[in-house]
Amino acid sequence: MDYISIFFEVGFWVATIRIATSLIFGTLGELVCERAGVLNLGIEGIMTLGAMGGWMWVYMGGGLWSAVLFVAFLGAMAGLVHSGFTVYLGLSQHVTGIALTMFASSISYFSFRMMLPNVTTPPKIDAFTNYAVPFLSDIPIVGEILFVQSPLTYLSLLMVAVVIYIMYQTPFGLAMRMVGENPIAAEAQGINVHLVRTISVMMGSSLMAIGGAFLTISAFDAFFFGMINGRGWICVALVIFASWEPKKALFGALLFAGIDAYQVRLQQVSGIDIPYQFFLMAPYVLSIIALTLLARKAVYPKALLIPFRRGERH
Amino acid sequence: MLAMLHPLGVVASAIFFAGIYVGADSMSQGMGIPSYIADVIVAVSILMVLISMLLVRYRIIKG
Repeated sequence: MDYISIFFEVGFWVATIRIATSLIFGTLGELVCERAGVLNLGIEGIMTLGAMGGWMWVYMGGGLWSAVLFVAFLGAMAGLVHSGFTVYLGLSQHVTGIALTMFASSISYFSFRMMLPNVTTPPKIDAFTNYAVPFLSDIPIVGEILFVQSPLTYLSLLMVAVVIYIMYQTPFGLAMRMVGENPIAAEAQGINVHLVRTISVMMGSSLMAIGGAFLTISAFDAFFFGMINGRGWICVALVIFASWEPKKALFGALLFAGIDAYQVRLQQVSGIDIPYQFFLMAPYVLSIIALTLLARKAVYPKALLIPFRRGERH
Repeated sequence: MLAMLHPLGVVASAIFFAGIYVGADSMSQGMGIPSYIADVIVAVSILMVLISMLLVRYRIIKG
């Protein structure tokens, strides 16, 4: 096994798409929030909340798909808190986001410990199993890579299409992009800026929460402490990488997941005297490089981070 | 944030947070409450300080 042959393994590509799923959800969610002009740094906590909530729902005997709905609801509630602070009260989006991350992740750990006080090995649940799409999965190589995946992976790809459709084809999407660019003009058009922003943040946050839940109810079958492990921050970076466009967000998530899957396999390549921490670092270093190269040209939403207060002059 | 951009405030707020964390540790030993409650309290207090900083910007005008 050497550096190049990794790329010819089916397992590598399957892992890439599996790792990308939660990133796709998270990046889409952050993108929806930011296009409406609200930076949601609560993403890390919301993903933890989703991971814990989804896992707990199934552990308590709920169904897998109802867990997804429940998690979307949890995320929407967290988004409501965030928009209450940043949209209606117009408070600092950075501080609120960080505080929300602290709050949501610690409340998830707290309730996990309250429910299961003395467990050393995390209890397991029956997670989503891979679903082979009939006929399509029979295609050699491509079929194995794309069409034998978790149902949530198909859902994430579907959500990319749905977000693109909503954002560019519906009146609500137009309003959403408008409040992110020029809320005063949107107000003059009779659009309720606060309401549109709130709905966008809630939708985005539910996508993030599903991204977190993917980890516990599909990729793994248990909840660990610190399992989100910075994925949320990666999603924030990926949104900039994608220049706030859903199509590029999908590409960015796949690229990052590819590097991540590659470094895991690179650790097993024999005969390298490099500490494995170096490989763990690689995806992040590469995302910094990609950001510095691409972010200069990024066209960010004009009203990002600027709270809108009705009747205020700018 | 809690220090309101004042150097001495940093000391006061640091002691406040240290108190919460130490209190949570002894609470979890004494009563079996998970120590993560400290982070919950810290996060909620940050959010509350945010709101209070908004409120001090406004004055009630008599008349």
